[in-house]
Amino acid sequence: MEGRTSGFSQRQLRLISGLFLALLAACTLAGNTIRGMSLPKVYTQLASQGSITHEYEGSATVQPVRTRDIHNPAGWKVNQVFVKTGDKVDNGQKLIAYDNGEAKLQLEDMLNNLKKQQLSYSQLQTDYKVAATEGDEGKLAAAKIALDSAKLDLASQKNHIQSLQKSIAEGQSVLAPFAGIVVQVNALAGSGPGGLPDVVLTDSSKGYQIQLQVPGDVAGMLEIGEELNQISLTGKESRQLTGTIEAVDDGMPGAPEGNPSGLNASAIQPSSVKIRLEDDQLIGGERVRVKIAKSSKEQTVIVPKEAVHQDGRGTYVFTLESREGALGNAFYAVETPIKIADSNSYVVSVAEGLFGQQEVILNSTGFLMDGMRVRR
Amino acid sequence: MNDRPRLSGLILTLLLVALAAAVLFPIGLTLVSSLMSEAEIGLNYDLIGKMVDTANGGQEAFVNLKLLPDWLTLAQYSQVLILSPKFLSMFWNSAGLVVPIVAGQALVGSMAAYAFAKLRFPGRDKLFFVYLMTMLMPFQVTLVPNYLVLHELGLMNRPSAIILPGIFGAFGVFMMRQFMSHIPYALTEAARIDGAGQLTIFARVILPLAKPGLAALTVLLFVDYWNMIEQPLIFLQDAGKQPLSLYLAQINQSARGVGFAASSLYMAPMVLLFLYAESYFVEGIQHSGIKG
Amino acid sequence: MNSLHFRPPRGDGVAAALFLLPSLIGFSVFYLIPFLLGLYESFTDGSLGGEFVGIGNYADLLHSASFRKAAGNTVIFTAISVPLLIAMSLALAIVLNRPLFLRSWLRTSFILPLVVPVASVVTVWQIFFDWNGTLNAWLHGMGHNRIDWMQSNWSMSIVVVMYIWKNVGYDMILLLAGLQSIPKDYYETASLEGAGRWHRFRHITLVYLTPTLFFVLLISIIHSFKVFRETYLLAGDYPYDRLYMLQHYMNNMFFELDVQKLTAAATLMVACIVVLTSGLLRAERRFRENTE
Repeated sequence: MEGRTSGFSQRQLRLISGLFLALLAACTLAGNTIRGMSLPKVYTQLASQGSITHEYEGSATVQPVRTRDIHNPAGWKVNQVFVKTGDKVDNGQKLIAYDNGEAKLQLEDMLNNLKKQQLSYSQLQTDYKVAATEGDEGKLAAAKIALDSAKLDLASQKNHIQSLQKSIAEGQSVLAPFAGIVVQVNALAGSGPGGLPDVVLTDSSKGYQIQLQVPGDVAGMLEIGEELNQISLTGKESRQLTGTIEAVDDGMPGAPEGNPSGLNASAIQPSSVKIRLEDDQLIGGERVRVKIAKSSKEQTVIVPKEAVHQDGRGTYVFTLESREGALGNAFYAVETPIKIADSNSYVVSVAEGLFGQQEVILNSTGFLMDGMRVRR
Repeated sequence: MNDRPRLSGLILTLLLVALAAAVLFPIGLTLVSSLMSEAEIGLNYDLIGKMVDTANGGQEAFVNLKLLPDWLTLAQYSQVLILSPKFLSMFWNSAGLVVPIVAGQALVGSMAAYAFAKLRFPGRDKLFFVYLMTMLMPFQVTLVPNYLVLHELGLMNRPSAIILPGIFGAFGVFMMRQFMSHIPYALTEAARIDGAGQLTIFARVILPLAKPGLAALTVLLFVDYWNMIEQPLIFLQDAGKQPLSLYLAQINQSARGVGFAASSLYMAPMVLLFLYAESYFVEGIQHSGIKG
Repeated sequence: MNSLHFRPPRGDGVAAALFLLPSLIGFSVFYLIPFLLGLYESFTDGSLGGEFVGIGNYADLLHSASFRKAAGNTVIFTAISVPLLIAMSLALAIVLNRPLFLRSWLRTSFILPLVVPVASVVTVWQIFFDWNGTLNAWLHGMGHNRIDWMQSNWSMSIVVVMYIWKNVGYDMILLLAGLQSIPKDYYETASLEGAGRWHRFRHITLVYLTPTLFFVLLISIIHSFKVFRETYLLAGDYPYDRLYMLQHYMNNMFFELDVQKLTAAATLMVACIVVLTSGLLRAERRFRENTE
């Protein structure tokens, strides 16, 4: 049989074979690098089943539930102040004594006047009797009128005196109307009445409260009557307090409920929350820090917030899909529309569209599109 | 008288060229299709293996035999060679299996062949007949015992499960014996008179003379083991170690486009080797004639 | 020509043993012992101790419908494909033995399928023979009904085509070598004596080619047993009934862990191959003695 047959020379074939093997070797060695350059690398996390936690942290000042302003009852000068700010007072305790000297003088004058009037009244009675005995009709009528008028004056003067006596008795001091704590003293000994109440008293029996502006997402999960125990006093002596939610006022009533796909819609509107504190040692005015952490009750699929994207059609995440191809496992980014049930600053809970344990792409080295091949 | 043979020769040539074209067609179509884009292949060949319900008003649909691509692209090759590492790893798997087998069988076979061809010992022809019979057996015949032996040796799922039986295959012994039988005794006798030992005669006289035979054996073994399917199918279940031959068998519909490129790359070493050593190849086959 | 029977000058028992040793050890471990184990297994039942059951397994096997189907298909396939293959390769060899334009190119083309991995052209096969394939498209174009090539009795003809495509080069090479070994002057003498073309073919070509034909027949049968590779690639583990051959049967018995049936079937197959081979070798020898 004759030797060479095909149209290629041995040399050419050797060259081709060499190039072929070199190409394969190069692709084998450089394959990873080239793949790295041409495919975006993605970082993934498994979507987990769990509940979403809303957290709030804020500070507030302790305020008494009820305070009473005690004013100078008669507008007299202050004689003596018996209490100072922070004092605990009992029901009926004397707080301030007022100077009633002027009133007493006035009373004496009035008493003197009364005596005078009584005297002149006696005179008028005598005049009336004289006129009656004289039988002079005209004189008698005039005397009767004078007598009645004096009688009225007398009664009026007596009333005035009684009222003055009463105000002297009551106005010389003020007493605590209930057991409480003095939070403010404006009265100064020797000075007259000012615009402010002389003393402000709190009512210990009604306790203390704080008021917070809580973001809507947290506030929505609070219930009235619920006990909170992550309240701590700040300042020198820090200790834990417990509180009960008294009232939750939605910030702006009638505001739109927030579109369901929006991430922050419900989180933006704050609600005002009143928390009653139970502690005997509070006097009001302390600063407290409040932490509220609420977990949703139902278990949902949770993904990190950074994995969630939005566009004109809605919210979606990229999931990583591994397809068993002839060329081995290849990974693809798949756009998966989701419905958001809830979210906080870190995670989003997904109502529909995702299953637990699905691999969700958090981040990638390149721009991602639906169906794009990626490497992990 | 002169025209007729020339005319018939021409017709004959044309007929043969047509036949050769038909024979080469599958190879050519594979090569051409490997330059098509995935989309074009999908468009033309997507119907393979699908049932189109023609009974219920479905359109009569057929695949479209496409001989020339709309435009040429190397996308499939880049898929196979660059974007996914599996093809290349399996390619080297194949090479890692075939090269030791060919080298080992050529060496072991040559030694045994020397004994069969040039040395005398009792029972030689009977033993050779046994070798010959094994060579002719389909692989499935010794499947179970082979499995048991490999299992016993702890070779299952290892490349050795393919390589070791390959090295001791009977074909190398057979072919080299046929080839060595043609080497005249005068040469070995002359060396022996010069005082050379058997090893020297084998290494210095026989092997150099048997070079074409070795070349032919190499080519034939290469082709045979490069294409093997049954052995790795059963003895190498671990997908990471399987050779290319199985990879192509697994290509499914979705990867048909890639399949053409992979096929082309898969057959390339064999075709190159064949073109390079065609005369050896032909010679090797001729020597496999039992009469020797 | 009769190297199986020549006698080397002296005995070289020790040297032969050393040269044979590596091959013999490996050969025994991976081929001979497994085969003997299989032989033993085929006479025992499946229990742990391996109770001897005589030919019980064989009786079971011969009663098994799937074995009979597989064996029948194998016989049918061989009986169809081998004569076709030999006829075609003989025709090609005779034509290519003449000086022809492009002869070496044509020869290369016919040999090339031998080295091309079937796995890499299997898609092309599918493109043609699928239910929606090109062949059906042509049939449809000519107004015929489609044929489900792979799921009907046609499936075997597809495998026959593939078998011929693959092996025509091998047989052609052998036959070409056989043709070239026929001295040219035989033909010239015959021509001078006025023998016609047919006469020359019958009385010179066929006669002198017969030893080669014996071998071609043998190797073609062996190759026909190895067609499992192609069938597996085309049709998978459980092909259409017509394609279910002994190798499928053995493969599936292996995966069903039915060792007894498998080894019995293997032993039967080996027995057939041994009988066939020695019969052919004997016939060839007798033929040669007659002609000499």
